Amino acid sequence: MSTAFYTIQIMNGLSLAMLLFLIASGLSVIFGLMRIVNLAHGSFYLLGGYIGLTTLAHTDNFWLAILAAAVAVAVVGMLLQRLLLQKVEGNELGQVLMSFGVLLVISDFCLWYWGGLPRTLSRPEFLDGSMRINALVFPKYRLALILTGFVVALLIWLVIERTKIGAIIRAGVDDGEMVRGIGIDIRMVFLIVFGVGAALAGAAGVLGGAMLGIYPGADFEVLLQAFAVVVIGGLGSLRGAFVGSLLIGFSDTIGKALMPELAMFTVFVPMVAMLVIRPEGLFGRA
Amino acid sequence: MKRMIIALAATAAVVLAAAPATAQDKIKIGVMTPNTGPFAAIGEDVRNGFKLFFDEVGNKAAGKTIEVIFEDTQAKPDVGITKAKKFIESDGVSFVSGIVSSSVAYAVRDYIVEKGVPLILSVASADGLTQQLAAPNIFRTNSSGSQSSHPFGKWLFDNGYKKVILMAPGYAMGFEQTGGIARTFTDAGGKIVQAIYPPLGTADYAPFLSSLKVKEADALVAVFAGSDAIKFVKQYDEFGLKSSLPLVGTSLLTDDMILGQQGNSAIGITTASHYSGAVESPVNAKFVQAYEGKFKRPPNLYSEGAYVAAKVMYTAIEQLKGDLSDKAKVNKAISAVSFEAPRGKFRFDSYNSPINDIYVFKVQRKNGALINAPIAKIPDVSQFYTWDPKTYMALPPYRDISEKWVK
Repeated sequence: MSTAFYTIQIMNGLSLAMLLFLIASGLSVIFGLMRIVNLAHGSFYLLGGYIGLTTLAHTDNFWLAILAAAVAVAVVGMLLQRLLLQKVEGNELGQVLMSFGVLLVISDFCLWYWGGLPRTLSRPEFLDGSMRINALVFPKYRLALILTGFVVALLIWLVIERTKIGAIIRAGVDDGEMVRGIGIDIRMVFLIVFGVGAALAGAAGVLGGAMLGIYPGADFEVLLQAFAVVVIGGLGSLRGAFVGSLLIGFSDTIGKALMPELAMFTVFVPMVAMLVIRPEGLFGRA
Repeated sequence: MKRMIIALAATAAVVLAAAPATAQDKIKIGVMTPNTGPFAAIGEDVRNGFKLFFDEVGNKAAGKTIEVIFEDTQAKPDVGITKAKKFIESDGVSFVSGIVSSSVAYAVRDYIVEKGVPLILSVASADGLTQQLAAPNIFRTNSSGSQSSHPFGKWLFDNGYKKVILMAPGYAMGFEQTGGIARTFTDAGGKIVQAIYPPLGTADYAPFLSSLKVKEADALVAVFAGSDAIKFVKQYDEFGLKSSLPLVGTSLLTDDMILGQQGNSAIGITTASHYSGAVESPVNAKFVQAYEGKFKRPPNLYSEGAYVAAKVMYTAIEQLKGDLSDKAKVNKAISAVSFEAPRGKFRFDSYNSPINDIYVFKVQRKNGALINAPIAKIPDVSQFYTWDPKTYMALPPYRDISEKWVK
């Protein structure tokens, strides 16, 4: 196998990793802060993709589609958090069951409203087609996605590490009761984080929809992979979500390229191994 | 309270009025399709095909009212069995039809054979159902898994392709459809240089696409269906492979319904099957027009298969003058059915799988819309192609030899 082969495969792995990061970062931070295993996170992706599709159909503007999906899904996420999940606070099984129920309801709603036909989102014209460098051919869109992923990761990191709200979030992950004790409205913080996490997943729906298409069942697919990322990276850790995404993205890509028959294996074996060896994940705290 | 009494009275009146039209003068048909899950879109095509046909004949056959009952299988075998039992034991249907997923078809097979109720499969294509596991009451109206593949493998070799790569989802459908091509292609003297079977429902084909041995092959033979097909065709184009390695396959890859989603990426793809909306015949022209008028979307091979299944049942009922009391007679009447379908002439072989023409299609843009335009026709192809049925069924099944094509 040549260097060209590996270069392309690494790029493939990166583009998948960045998409996963957008989804898994929200899932991970929401868990770290609120101890909610939010299965409905997959629905945020699906719903975002479909809202983007409808926006594109009306405006033909990709950026507006991302914005519309992020805002609409954030609203849905915040309503879900306030009206449903908050009612079962502290009851883990209740949360899992409720968010799973919401996942099913949203996926049926999407099927009813948008139909079962798989759809693809058209991307901005300048990102259509592929780049050629010597023997290397790589889709421009995927390149843009990789860059976007890094920028978003940097932005989230800056917010969490360098701002006041970031400090509150970090404190909340470490010790929620203490944060409440010093007079910070932790409920509000929960709501904002939930909304932002949902918005990221919604935007990922549009970005991913333009790369992989959007169709019934996409919610489960991304949820499974996002869980693998979170388990490997460690629940509640942003750095973990980033490293986990890279690991899953690469192991998925390289695994498929070298051993196509074991394609599912290469994603979930690292996850199972991590659960056995270090259940808290690479960067999680026990 | 008063309003409620009126409502109750009205309901009772409706029930009473409907009651007499039962038993003798009504024929029930149970249609199972997936309304949810990855095959949901195909389920819609199938339901449309049935609706169109029965509406055309005014929901009547041999003077009796036809009632079609739709049930959702969710493409799950266990749900399929539950629904089959409901159809036969509580609804009392005379026919069971539909079924998209072959695993559902396999699951209900034994039960249906035991009951003797005719089962007319309109999509499920697993070879075994009309070969080793064939039964007098199991019929198929679309085409068996490798039926279009056999003539197509030979056609590819005759048309200048000498070395190809195989790529399809790693389960029965993928193995049968690519295996059929590989068998006749290698028999003719062609060579398979690589075979890759990604799992069903792969989200990203990029890693597979980047490991194709492009320089060693003349074409890529790919068979994917539904959402997989859309992703695959678009990604194939994105990675710049379209210009260096022609894409060929069976028509699942570019069925008429998903073509619009694949867009320009699909142009030039060559596939084989028994039907596309562009097949030229008066019957098909009428069918396409009626279908588009009613559902505002193009028909595809799934909806045509359902339409034909409906017509098969209708023709058998007419033949028997509506007397369905003897199931053996019904099954016999069905196997003798033959007519002009949208795809062309349609009849069953002695294993109840269709014999029909197979077309080679090429995706083209015509009047702004993408179509599967027929460029060649191989007449009267059965699931056994040029083999004798017994000889053919003695060959190892395609799922067992999927790894042996590369030499």
